[in-house]
Amino acid sequence: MIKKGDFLISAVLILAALAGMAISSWGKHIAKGDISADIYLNGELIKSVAKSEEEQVIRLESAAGYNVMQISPQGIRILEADCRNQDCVQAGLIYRSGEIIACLPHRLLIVLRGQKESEFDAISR
Amino acid sequence: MLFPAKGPTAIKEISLLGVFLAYTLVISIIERMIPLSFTIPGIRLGLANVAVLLALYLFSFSKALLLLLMKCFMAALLSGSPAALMYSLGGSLLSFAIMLLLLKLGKEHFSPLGVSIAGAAFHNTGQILVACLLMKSRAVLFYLPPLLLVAIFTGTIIGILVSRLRPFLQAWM
Repeated sequence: MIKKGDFLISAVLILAALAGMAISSWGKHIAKGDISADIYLNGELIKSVAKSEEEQVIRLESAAGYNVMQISPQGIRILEADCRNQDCVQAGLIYRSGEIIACLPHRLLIVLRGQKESEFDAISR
Repeated sequence: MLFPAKGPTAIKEISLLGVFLAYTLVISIIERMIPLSFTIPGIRLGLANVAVLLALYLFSFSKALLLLLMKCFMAALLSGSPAALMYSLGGSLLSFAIMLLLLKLGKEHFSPLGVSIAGAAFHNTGQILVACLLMKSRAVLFYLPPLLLVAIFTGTIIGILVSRLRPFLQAWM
């Protein structure tokens, strides 16, 4: 039997999700060259690639395993990885600032950042 | 002592907890093999929470916590990854805490649906927080809002299962 509190919980979650989406899409725009992909391994920035550059394929290898990523004018995606869950490959193409691809088993994180970030953007990250 | 009592009730509790533990371990292996989504990584139905939530309703909180901890550690042994243990502990303990809190606030206010929805949402939140810690980045929070919406859906399914199974098991106990 559904009770009043159940609706309250769901309502709070919907509000929290909408607020979170609003914050994360603040200033988000489809990039036209003014965006870069920051690649982190174990929390350290190891590479920052401007997205407007010509298509390139980068292979990153660490003690945990490897990821092969493709950077193209359309965006960035992971083509191949030797992780078990393949979440990073299934995440597909990302192309808007603020979007991320995470490979949790390899502790690899790709964050798209707009070059002209507003102050708000910097805070919300 | 977790099981000071002797007699048929203690035997039923111990055997049911054993069945629950076996169920959570099998389901965690099966759920890992079936991804539910191709846009947001790691979405699972969370069927293991059926056992944890039933244990919270049927047994004491300490027995439910024991089930949860054994599930986390044994599932980590099966998957063989220490990071997996951190993710499952982070998600499970936060989810357990909120479910316990809601049950203490009153079973008359929340049905198993609400409790399991909140549990699912906090499980996701806990895992995202662990990911933030491990990746040393807040950017992972990007995944949280859609996961909270998914939690309403998955939590409802788990809640329906729990409210259907509970009277049956209570009668058996």
